[in-house]
Amino acid sequence: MSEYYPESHPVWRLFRETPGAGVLAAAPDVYVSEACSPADGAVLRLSVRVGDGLLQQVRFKAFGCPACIACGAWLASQLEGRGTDALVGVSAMTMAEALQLPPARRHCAVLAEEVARELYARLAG
Amino acid sequence: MTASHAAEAAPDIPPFIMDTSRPVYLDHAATTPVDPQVIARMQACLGQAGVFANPASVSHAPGRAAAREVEWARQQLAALTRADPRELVWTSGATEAINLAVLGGARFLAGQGRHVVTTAIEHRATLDACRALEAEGFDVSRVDCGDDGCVSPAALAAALRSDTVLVSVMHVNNETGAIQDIHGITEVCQDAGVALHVDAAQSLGKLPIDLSSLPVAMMSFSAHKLYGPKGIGALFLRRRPRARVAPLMFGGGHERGLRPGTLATHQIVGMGEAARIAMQEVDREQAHLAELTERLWRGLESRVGGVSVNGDPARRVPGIINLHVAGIDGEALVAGVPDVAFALGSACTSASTEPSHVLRAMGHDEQHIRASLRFSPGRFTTLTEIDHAVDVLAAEICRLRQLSPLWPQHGQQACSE
Repeated sequence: MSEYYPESHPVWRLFRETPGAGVLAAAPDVYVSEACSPADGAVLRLSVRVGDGLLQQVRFKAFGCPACIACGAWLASQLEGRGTDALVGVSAMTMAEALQLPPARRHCAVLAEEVARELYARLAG
Repeated sequence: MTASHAAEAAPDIPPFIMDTSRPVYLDHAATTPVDPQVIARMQACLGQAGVFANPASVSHAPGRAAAREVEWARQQLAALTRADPRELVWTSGATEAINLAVLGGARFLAGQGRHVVTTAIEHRATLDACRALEAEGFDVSRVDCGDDGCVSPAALAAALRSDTVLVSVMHVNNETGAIQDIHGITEVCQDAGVALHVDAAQSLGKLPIDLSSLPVAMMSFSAHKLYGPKGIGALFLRRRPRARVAPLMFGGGHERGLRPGTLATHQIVGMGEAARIAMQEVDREQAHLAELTERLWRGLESRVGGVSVNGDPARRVPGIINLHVAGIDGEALVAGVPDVAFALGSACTSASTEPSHVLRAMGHDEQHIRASLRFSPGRFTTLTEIDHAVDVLAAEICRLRQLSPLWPQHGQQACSE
């Protein structure tokens, strides 16, 4: 179902402006993770440059509905400059509240939480 | 001539057509604006100075004037479809007409058998009416379409049984514009001696319909896909051989007892006027729509690539084109282009979360369906509007593809926008 997001809605702003969109070129200090939602085929990819225990640069790419793209942008903008532990602090519920996601779109926040945890596991591994 | 054909140049264009603050409306398969000539004719039926009386009140002159208007409208619709005016019953729209045909037809014929055949690509009005029949103990077979979105008469023939009493098939699919082989299907039903109902909501005034030579038992029509008002439609019920239905409503003898209720003169006259205009405009309008949809498709394909038609491009009504745009999510595109009003799958389907049952029946997977968009320009759409739509759609498609981790896909070029 296609929701209507008014201009003041956080999903709309992040979907239009997409802060943190892009991909970091492969390098030894760049880590990438990806998650996809079997329900609707949405895909979220996160790439980060790590240094001194910090997520120095965070970029996202997303395929899916506006809420999915907004979740990617929110994730990138929230994580950049923070410690790597912030990846495990990502909560779908917090994100859903911050972005005022309608119930039918909560799975986009779950996808974002998943991609963050996957990335943390890679860093730890 | 309606204003549409002069919209590029003429100075006397109704203001709403050139209002650039409104989105380019490419969703006429969902509903059309009411033609200004239709509005004028309807208004003349509403006020005290107009033809407002009850058409059933034939004991006085105002009532008889209203009845004359209703019969004038019936003649217009009959002329457009080459039916006998006495074969047309006014309803609240195509949905009610379809319900009356499918539910009323099957119930009337239940003594002869309890099997109904329809197709997998019908409008929800038919599919849901058939589901209601199943709850009453009828058996319903749903015939699949091919990957071109068309149902073959042979496949339909194979679904018929000795206890089949009714077949219900659409003339033009509302999502893809695919034109069904109504002549072939009619022949199959005639040979089997089974009553055929055709849902012509999307074909009325767009394709030639000649009920004097096409032996269908029943046909459903709507006004609001034809620049008439919402809330009015009609059911054709053949007189010879007589098509019979059990009424769904009770409460008076209107419309030969098949559809009681005070006739809505202004709505009926609106449908009649819409039919009259369609008769005059059909050839020019269809050529205009063919040019518009072709320009949209080719324009997008040349700008962004990866654009293909769902269904057989040569076997669709000119006014509906269903495009698959590789590498995008339809919901993101429709949200990202508020300047253009278009549908994802069908407007009726997009009110629920289910992906299009029509595209699914054509063999497409969920990802393909999510990247499929229906565009349906109309009588008043201009080439300039199409060019603007191509501009903003192409820009947004490129933005979404650049955001996508799945793009470029195998063999696809990166966007050059």
